[in-house]
Amino acid sequence: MKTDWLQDAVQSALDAGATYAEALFRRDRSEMLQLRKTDISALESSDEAGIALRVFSGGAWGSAAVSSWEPGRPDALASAAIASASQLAKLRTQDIDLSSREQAGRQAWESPMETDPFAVSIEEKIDVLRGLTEKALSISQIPFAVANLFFRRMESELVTSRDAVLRQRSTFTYPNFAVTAFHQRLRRMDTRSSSLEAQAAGWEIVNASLESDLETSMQEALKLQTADPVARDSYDLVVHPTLLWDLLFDTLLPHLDPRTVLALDGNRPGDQWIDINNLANITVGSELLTLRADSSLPRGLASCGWDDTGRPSPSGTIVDAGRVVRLPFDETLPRLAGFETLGFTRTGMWNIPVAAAMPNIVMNAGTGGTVTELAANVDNGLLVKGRSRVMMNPAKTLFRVRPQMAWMIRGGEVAEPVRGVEIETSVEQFWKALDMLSSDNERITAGDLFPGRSSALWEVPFSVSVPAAVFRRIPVYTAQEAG
Amino acid sequence: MSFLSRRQAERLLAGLMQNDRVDEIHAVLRSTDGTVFRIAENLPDAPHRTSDSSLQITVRVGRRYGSARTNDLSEEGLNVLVERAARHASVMPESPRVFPFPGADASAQPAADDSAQMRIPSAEVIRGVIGQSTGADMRISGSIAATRSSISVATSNGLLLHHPSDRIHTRFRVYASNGQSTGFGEHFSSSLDTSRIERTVQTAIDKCAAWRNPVEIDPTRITTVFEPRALADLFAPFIQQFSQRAIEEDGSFLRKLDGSSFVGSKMFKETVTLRSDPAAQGLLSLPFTLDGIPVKPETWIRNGVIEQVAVDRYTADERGIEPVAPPTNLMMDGGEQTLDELIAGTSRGLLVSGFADLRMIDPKNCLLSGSTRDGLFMIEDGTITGAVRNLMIRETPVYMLKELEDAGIPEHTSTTGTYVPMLLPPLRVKDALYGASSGLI
Repeated sequence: MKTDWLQDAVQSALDAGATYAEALFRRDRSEMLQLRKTDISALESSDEAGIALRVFSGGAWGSAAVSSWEPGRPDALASAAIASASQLAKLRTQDIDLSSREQAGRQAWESPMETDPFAVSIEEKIDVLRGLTEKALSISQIPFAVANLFFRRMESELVTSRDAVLRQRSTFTYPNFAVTAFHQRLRRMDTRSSSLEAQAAGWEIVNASLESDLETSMQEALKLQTADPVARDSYDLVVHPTLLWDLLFDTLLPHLDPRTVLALDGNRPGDQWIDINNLANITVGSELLTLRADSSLPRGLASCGWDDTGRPSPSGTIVDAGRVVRLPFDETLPRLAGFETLGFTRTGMWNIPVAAAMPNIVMNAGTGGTVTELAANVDNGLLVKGRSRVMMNPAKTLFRVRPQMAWMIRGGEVAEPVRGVEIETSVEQFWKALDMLSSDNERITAGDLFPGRSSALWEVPFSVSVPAAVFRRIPVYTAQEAG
Repeated sequence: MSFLSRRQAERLLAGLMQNDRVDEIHAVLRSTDGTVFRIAENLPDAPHRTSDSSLQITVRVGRRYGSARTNDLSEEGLNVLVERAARHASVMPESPRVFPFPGADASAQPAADDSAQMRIPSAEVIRGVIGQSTGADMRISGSIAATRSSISVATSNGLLLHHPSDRIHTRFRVYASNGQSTGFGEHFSSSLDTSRIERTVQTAIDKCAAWRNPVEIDPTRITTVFEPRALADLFAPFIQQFSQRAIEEDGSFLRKLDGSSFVGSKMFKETVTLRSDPAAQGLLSLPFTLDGIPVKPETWIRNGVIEQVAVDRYTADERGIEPVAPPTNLMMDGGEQTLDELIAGTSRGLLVSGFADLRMIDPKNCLLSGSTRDGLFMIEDGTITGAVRNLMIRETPVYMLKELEDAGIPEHTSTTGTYVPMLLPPLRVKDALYGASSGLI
């Protein structure tokens, strides 16, 4: 899209009476490949782009969007956005604060990347996937393997009436696989998937760790085949970061979205855990739980130079020693009197209005050392590892998850693997049972390219970064084996 | 370019089909021009207008197929799209069977005039909605979306199907001022009707007002009266299992233990008849599938007997039979009683208004689980005696239609959230199964 067109749209809006205007061009590219066993079973690609114009006119925001293929005249888009603002102005007006927005100048930001995955040939991508599945299938007890590659690129150009021109480009890469072992005599099937998650990075991460990850996954799937079921009890859990990131993502963070807190999503499930009238006194976890927003997190999916309204991307603590101290926010939301917010406004695609978005979330590490050293502090417990589907109750206050792998911990030593581990507890109880944190060297950063699976409010990918941790006295059930 | 008329779509697709770098092309072209007005907790947001068109194609090159998608419909954009799809095809494994995309279909009717402009909701309509809510001492969240859209399916073998539609989607949830009770109203229509919007909001308000101080009950099997909207959400996954492929892949309750199907067998009460017709009055729906099969009037269950299942093109070709498109709407025969009369005929039971988070637990018997929502009430001696805390239901429509006690007068309704028009009666069913409280308000 030509910058000129965006500037014309902004100028047209000003000419039509807007006090402020911003035009956001956005292009989204994606590619997905899948190999089942050794055959390619899916190959999809998409490339879509459009422009959204947002104006402040007559004391109200207004917006309109059009695809960039045939956007028409810039002043037509401006008229549509002004008309939107004038409709809203009949219902409510507000003040505008532009102080935090970038001023005049052309600037650019790109997520770090060594090799552009969109420039790598499809044949090379298939070779990598086939290398993985062939290696897995060469083991007779592994009759099934699947491998996938996802790539996504978000490119944007924001032109504002403060004469800022901000260009950004983020590239996401997500290689993954799953191997399934089958025990003929016991009629048992066990699947392990890769631990690498989506990263803001290029092709370079594909080859970096997949092979060793595959080796670990295969060994663990095979070990699981002959393991005994876990006994139902309450255990101290050492939660590996490959599982902990997803538990944070699925169970706690949806409660910290400002639209949930403010009950603005129109689908509030039940009594809100985070009570808007008691924000300053809410405790969502133990004193060890400190969460920070970090918009420059290396390989973080939400890392960026500015949000989609031209404000420098924010960082700051959102949960301090278990207490909520700040929330991600956007300027169209009602103000939270006496409570700090982190302005972060983004859009999932060009045709979706900008809204408050989750930044990358970093959970502070502790001084507990490695996973093995954490286990040394557990007499009777389990080491649990590997992301799995987290099931929530409709009110999103309880969760259930079956980690991919689990080992008994006895007398501080990691012992034999056990199967059928099913953790089921309340979100509040779980995070308040956090008792120890590993050091930073166990930390992983992981994110989801499709965060809408956890919360319908989330359209923009973001990452979480977590260490390993110990949770005390968590109820564990014996999962039923699939018939 | 926003909403594409038939002529515009035809012109664009004709250009695409002239591409001779591939052997065949199948295209699905969607266009939309819509405005959404949102309200959150009585607070209106700016109406947002979006205009877009997107194109998904599948191409065949020799024995290989490839797909790609874009919203760049310029001549260059289309060339790049075909190139990308052909590139994908070049690395796909060869298909064991080359099956041509469908050709021109004489039965396809020309679309109705689609040149009229659509009215969108004004600030005054939104002010009225908020006023209704605050007047009842409630808080309202939701949206009114006005959308003109079209969908076209074309192939390089001469097929061109086009279906325009105008839709006003009104969807609101209200909360009592103490946040402890809620009600929901949703309506789809083809034109802006302010009084209809008012009635939808009033439905939500009335449900919320009635659902006060709910009591908790233990897990139970209990006679239940299901309102049509609740049924629509239960029937949507149910009717998907009327599929020959699902039967063969062991994903349908219509599969017998020996692998054959229950087609021709009596499974349900004599009164159960379930039909579909995309041209039915008040239930207009997509008259073709995305792979180009015309959707014809069908009877899926007649007097309790399974009469028809959908058959996709590939299966139909293998068997030498005509394909049968799955339904895009649904009609169930009912009785003469109103909802109130069904309730009056219930000695003890529950009234279910809707569901949240319904999920398929076991496709082999269409077992669904989810929470009741937006109105769960106790019926005693023919009258509603109070609100009940929402429960997890664990039930299958297969059982419900076997244990059907009575059906009322059919009403227009739809699945929640997505427009699948249905004409369904309220049903009274014996001994539906509920688990513990779901925790939802």
